[in-house]
Amino acid sequence: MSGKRIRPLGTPREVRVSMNTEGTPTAVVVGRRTRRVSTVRERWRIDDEWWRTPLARDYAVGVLDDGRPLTLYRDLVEGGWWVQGEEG
Amino acid sequence: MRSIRTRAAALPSSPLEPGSGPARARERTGQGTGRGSRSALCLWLPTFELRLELVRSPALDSTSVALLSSEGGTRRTLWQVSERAAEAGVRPGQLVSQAVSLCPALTLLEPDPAHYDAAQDALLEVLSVLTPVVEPAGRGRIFLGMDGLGRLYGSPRHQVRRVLSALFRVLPAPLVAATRAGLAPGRFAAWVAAAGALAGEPVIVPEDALRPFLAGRPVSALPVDETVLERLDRLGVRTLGELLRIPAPALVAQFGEQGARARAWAAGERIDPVRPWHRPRPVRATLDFPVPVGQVETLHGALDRLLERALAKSERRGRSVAAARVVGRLEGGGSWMVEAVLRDPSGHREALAFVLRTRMGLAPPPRAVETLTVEFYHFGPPADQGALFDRKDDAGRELSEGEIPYSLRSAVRELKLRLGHSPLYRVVEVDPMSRIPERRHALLSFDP
Repeated sequence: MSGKRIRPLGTPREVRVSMNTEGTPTAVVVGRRTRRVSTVRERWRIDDEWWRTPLARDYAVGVLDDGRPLTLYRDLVEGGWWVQGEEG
Repeated sequence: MRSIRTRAAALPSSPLEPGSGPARARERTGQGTGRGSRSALCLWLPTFELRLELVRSPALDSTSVALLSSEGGTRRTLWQVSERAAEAGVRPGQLVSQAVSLCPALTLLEPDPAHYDAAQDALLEVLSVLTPVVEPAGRGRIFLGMDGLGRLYGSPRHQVRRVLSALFRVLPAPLVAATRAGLAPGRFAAWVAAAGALAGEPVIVPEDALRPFLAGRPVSALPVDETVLERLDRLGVRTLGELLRIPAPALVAQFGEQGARARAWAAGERIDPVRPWHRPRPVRATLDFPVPVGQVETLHGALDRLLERALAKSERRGRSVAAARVVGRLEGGGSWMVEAVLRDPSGHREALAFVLRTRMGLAPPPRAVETLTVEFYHFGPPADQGALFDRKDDAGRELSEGEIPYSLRSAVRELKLRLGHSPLYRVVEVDPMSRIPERRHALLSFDP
């Protein structure tokens, strides 16, 4: 496949997130604006690739105050919050 | 310069009618709204196009001259005629064969629309320096909004004089001298004033004299259907004053909504303000032929190429095209032009090509074309790009799996020419069952 270029899709990007005492996101900085997370619809956790570079993420699908869904995860190995795509 | 007869018997069609293409396109796209100017100055240069031809060829001034209509075909008719030709019985709308038999010495001129449009554009340019509210109503007829200009230019008479003197910058003196001017409240009254004015003697109608002024003017000035005017004529109604003597309910009963509007205009109760004309910067693409081209197929091929190029231009900014024209510079001088106002603004080459080809078929270029230009001059809302992914070819055949639509292929080719590479990507599955979202799919460059 000469001349063809491949690019990743859905690469997570780091964001700043405020959370409550239970660790649930309550606000997220999107661009230059801080958006309130109205509700968290779903949460799940993945632990994978323990045999090479361990990967552990705590996922949350939140709904922003303007109605947009946002998929976030907290990196449990490196730390920090990341947003993964802007659809649920 | 000799005086020249106008095409219509009484007054030409009113500029208030939504007749001209750009005006219609503007109405549809919602441009040009706002309060506008109540005080209106109408400048009118009758037989603008023929006068421009006579300025270009002064030797013709003392001969019988007629300008041909742009509609092609074997039975061509006359568009405008000089007074000397009119004295020999030649009339606008006559067949060429009839006109030549009446006046064997008649000189026939092909219209040069590009030249006329350039002159009109120059006029608009000069006038827009004097007032920001300029509204063209066809070639040779322009409305100016004069509200608030008294402190700049003085009394109404001084304002008109100031405007007329500005015309010297772009028109030769005989044409300025022949320009009629009417200043009145609203476009209708200003047009009636200009149409009734003598060359060099502007008619100024103050607010309180509007009704008596209109009362003596012919009903043919009303911007209503020809059938309404014919019926009024049969009823013996000649002037706007006579129209007002008919009771309003009777007028509405006879002519419906048009009757009510006609009465409001005649009474000076309806004042149409001059609206500032919004002219978006046109998008053009031009092709110079190595040798003049007369073959229709070659011109159609060139039209397709030019449409593609014009649609791909960044200054279109994704807007759909509401009106387009094709202009050709002809072998041996002169120009030819067809215009199309689209019922549904489109950003698709095929849709635009279909309409313009139809117009070209109705009015083909009279001689071989040296240079062809496509110009988009009115725009609609942003065009959707659904056609890029249309799974049918030009003949309507469904494309099989793996076949790339022509429109998408040509879009990629255009992008590669501009950027050096294709910036389009196709989504491909990498590990669709992965628990880690960013590993499920990837983007692969798309370069068919």
